[in-house]
Amino acid sequence: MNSADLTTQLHSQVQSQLQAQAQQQSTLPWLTVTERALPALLQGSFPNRRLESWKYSSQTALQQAALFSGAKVSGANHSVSQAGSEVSSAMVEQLQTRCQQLPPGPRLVFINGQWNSDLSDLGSFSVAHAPCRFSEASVAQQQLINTHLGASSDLSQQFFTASNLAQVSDGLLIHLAANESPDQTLQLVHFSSPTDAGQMTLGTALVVLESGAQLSLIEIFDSLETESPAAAHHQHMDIVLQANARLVHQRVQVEDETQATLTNLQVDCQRDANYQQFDLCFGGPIKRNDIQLNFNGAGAHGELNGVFLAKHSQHVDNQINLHHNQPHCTSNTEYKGFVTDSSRAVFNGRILIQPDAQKTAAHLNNKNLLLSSQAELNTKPELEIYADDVQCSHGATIGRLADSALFYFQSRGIDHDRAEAMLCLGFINEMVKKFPAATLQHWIAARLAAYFNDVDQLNALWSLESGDHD
Amino acid sequence: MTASTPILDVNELVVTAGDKTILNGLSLRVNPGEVHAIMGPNGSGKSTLSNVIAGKPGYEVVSGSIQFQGEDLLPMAPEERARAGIFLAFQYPVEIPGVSNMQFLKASVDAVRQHQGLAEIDSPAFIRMAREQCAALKLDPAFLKRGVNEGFSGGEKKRNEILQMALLQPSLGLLDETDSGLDIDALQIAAEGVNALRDEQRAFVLVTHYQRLLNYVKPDFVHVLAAGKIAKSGGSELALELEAKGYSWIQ
Repeated sequence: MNSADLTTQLHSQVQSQLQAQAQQQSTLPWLTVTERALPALLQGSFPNRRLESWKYSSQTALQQAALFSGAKVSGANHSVSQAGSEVSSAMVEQLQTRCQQLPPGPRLVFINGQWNSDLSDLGSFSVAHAPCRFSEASVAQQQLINTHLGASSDLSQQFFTASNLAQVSDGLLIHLAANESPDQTLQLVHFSSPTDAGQMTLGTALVVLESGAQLSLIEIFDSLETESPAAAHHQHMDIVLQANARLVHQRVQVEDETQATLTNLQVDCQRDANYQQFDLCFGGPIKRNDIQLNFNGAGAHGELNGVFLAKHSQHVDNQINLHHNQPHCTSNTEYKGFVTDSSRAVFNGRILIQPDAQKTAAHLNNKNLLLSSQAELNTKPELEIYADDVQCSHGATIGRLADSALFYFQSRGIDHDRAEAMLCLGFINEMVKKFPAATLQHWIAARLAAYFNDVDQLNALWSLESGDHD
Repeated sequence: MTASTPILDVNELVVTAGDKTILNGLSLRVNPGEVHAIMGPNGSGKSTLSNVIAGKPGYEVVSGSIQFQGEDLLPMAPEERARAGIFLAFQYPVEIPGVSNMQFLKASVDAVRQHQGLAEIDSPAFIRMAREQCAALKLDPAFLKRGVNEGFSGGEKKRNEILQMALLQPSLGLLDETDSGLDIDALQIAAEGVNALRDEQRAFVLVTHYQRLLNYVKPDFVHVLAAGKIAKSGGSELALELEAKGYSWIQ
């Protein structure tokens, strides 16, 4: 069977399963987004290379995605969790150890998309409306969820998001009232572990910051090393920043390389809102981050900083969309890619300036390090401008390590392999250093040292970075 | 190695880059404790000589030999030469954003110590050492935390090279136009750095375009390079003569 047939067949399987599921009693009868998502899902096409946003995805990566979603689809679903994907106490213990290694701070922990109360600890994180499950939402919060969840997604174009939202059985709501500004950074930790038959698990979240509110958020995606078949997770998050609200969003995806993760992030920036993102993503069978910033009010500012790493035969895909709909907004996007072995990575960064978005200043840049002749990288910065008084730039480069830099290291006694690892880490570290949380930087440094199989030496070197020796 | 073994013995060296012959039968012998200055017009092969000794790729040694402390240098990789005690201060130090100066210095000191059979130096001790050297070179210690040469001024880059040399304590220091582009103050500081390292065991080869550096680091020998070989050798007074008359009278 060729891959096109396979995906078609899987697509119809998924569709019929979802239809059957939708006919069951919903756990959130008040939720309206499912009603929009299901038809979009049934009409929309399964990702394939004829679609622009999947054009550069390798056939293997697409098949992986198809297989995950084609397996029995389950999710953050009460009925499923009761039916047997209970988290074993051994696993909770293992994850507890993992959590202790994380930077300290209030955190919510999710295992395969389900909120785990044992591992979560909000500590002294205190806001008027505590972060809550969709299933616990008050009537006012239900309204908030119905207004915003999935509202800025074109569901017919986004198969996995439509699939997620068609099946939402629970989710996370973070809601800050006007001018609230908790001084602690909130962590969301998403752990994945393989489920029976490699099901794709789902996580859904909505963040609403009312006017003038400020929040610093860390999201960590991690998994336990495992011999079991690969796991896959889809995470959808809607972020609404009302006037003058401010969110610092740090995302780190460092799962085991058998883990497939697809994320979809929609940010609605209203007047003078400020969104800053810092992203680090390790490769997997398929890793894909769809990020869309919608500038829906004048004077808003968005910043996206990202670094992705692909080795072995991994696949990483970044789809960035910046929609400037209103005047006087500014955006800065800087992504770095590190691609080696026979891996494959994609960067699509698109700036769209609508006719009303005069005086926009939007800049986008993607720099890549390609270390192997077997690796493939497709980078495509795009500008689409319908206003006449804007300042925009975009650029992309692909390069290899400079011989002069390698020789400089060697001439100081550092051997070729270590020099190469240090130079690669330096390239990546430029982005890691932008992460505002120093504790998170150190945690990332340890994971990066492991990534380069040079744990002791590089860890020792990186510990020089910490302030301990001042 | 006996006391009479030279640190560096370059014999009839012929080097090409691409299809161009750059060094054409150059010989040079440097004994412990000596400071040699190599001068010469642009394109005479000054930088090539120091690059070939340090092992920079891109050059082909067609004939001749280089012995370092009695050992054949040419088969050795650049990192092996550095560990054996050769240090090249770059004419144009490379910027490495993302790797801090401290990390770079520690990695190189550890590599050299490992070769000498010494244990890695622990971080606090190393940081103390690096800070002392910084102070001696009048560099802000914050400089250690910045990316290697990232955004450094010309003078800072050159002083950073001297800092590395001070930490690595080489047997042979090759300074490739370390004085170019330095103002007098920076030049003095760099020269003091070199003078502080001068002793009976170590030797230096200063590749320079100008006589100025030699006011501060007094050489034992001055050689003039022309057309890929040493055209004239003399004492430090030769440098002054060159400054006055230019290079044209040599050929």
